[in-house]
Amino acid sequence: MDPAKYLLGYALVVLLAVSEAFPMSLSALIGAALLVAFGVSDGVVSFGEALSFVDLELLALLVGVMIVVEVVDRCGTFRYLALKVVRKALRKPALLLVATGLLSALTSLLLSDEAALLLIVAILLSLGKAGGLDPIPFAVSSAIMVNLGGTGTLVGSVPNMAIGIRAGFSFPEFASYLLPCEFALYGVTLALLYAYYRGKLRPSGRELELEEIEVSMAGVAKGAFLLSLMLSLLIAAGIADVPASAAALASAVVALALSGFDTLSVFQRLDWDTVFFTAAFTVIIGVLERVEALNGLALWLQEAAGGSLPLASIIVLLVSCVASLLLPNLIVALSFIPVIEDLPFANKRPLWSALVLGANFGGVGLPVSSFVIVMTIGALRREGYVIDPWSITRVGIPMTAAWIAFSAIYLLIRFGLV
Amino acid sequence: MAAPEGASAVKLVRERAAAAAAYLVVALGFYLLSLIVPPLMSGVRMPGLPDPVARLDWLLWAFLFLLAFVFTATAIYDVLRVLDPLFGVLSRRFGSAVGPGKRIARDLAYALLVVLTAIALAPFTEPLGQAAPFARVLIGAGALLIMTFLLYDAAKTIYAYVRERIEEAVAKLTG
Repeated sequence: MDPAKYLLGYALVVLLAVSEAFPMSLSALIGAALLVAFGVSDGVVSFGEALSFVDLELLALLVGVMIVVEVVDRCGTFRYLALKVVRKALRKPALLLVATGLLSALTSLLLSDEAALLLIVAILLSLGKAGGLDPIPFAVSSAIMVNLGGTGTLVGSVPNMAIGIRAGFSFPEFASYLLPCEFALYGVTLALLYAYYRGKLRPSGRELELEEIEVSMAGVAKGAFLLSLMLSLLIAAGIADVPASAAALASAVVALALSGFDTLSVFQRLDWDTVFFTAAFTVIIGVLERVEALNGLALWLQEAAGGSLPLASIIVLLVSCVASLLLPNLIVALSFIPVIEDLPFANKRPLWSALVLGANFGGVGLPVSSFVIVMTIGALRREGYVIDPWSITRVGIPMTAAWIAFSAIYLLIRFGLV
Repeated sequence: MAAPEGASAVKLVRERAAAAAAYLVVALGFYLLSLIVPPLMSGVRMPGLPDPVARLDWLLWAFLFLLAFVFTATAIYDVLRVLDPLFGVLSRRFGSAVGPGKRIARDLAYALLVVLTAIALAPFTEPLGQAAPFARVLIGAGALLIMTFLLYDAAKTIYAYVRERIEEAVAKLTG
């Protein structure tokens, strides 16, 4: 049985997704249907087995977190906190850069990258209109920080959830490996962004003002409570050795019950494209594993590392980062998971951590790397600000290189590999 | 090269289809001549030249065959031009407002999708019994036809893009 047609099916999904011929979910569903048909006709997998490749634990975690975040967002908690912080930093552009950058990163720890960026960019654009502030340095910095944010927690991004579940990391364990790196990188990144944009951060001379928003403080408090409850349950689940997906689903049920929002309208707002993509792509990877189509990559990695765990970790970091410069990071994460599982190292924690960092970091290197960059450019252009897409690359590529260099050193020290 | 709209598209289709048919008839005529006439000259040789250029029958065959080839190529080109309006409709259906890079990527993706779908469907024709080989030929031929259209569209997009860039560069260089 020749694995070539299976690999072509995988390539088709990547091509359909990258060319945006269809939504991500439909691209993956087409690929899954083809690969399952190949597998059934070749007698290597049955339809029932193919369905069992869907990672239900990952989907439960994903949907649970999405529900809680949607409810908290509707409570106005994120917007209220964002406006509070920005208002404090209005008078000093350098402080505003740091504040919006940190806000972007911290918000994207929980919200999707797109939602976090929309929130911050909307505030920046209203500042630009009201006070003559040039929003471009702030918006580009926010896009970069949003990409960095969410690297350090199990629920920070969908690739993290996929990797964390397969690696068997609990919420606290995941955070203990990766959150220190993320926080340290906040400092490095903000320092580099400040150095790059220093000349453009002059006060406008006009009084910057932000609109007053009408929020129910009870709603904001409720949102904050639900968020704290989910984080507490995730930490407790890690300590009690209960799956993180159970904690996320429990939090979702409580959030829906306490919020008073229409449950169906909350469900309608969830990112079903990502959910179906994840489900279908896990089937694709399952079939590829069954026909041993990914063995070549694992063997190459093994030979390149020559049995050295530090070298293997650095290679995983680099290769996954370069791949995620060109491909959606969820595809990179899901494709590398079986490769790492095949590697003959007893301690795979450095490898899983390297994959998390590499898959998350490729998002700002090129204009095609992530939807966040495209969104930033689009939002600025709609408001009449001219921005060259490659101006983001001029910041993004050196930034990605700095992140990778820092992360390589971090991994070696954190896991005692030197 | 935007596809013509409405009536002009219908006119183009009529004109090019008629021209393609005429070219094919002429090509067939020259091909038949290349089979019939050269044997009449067999044995006549040009002095001092090596084979096959010394043989008058071969030279005549090459001349007639080349003509048949040129007219066939012209007919194929006209058939493809007839398809341009169809590509216009299809590309609007699948989103024509994309850059050439994305359009080429989509054409290649669709072509790959068609090939893989044909491969995936083929084994499921077995229950058709004696009709199975016929069904497989139908699937294969259909896939090949669609793939040819898609690859033609990709080639056309690449050609238009490269030509535009070259013309721009030449215009800049020549002031």
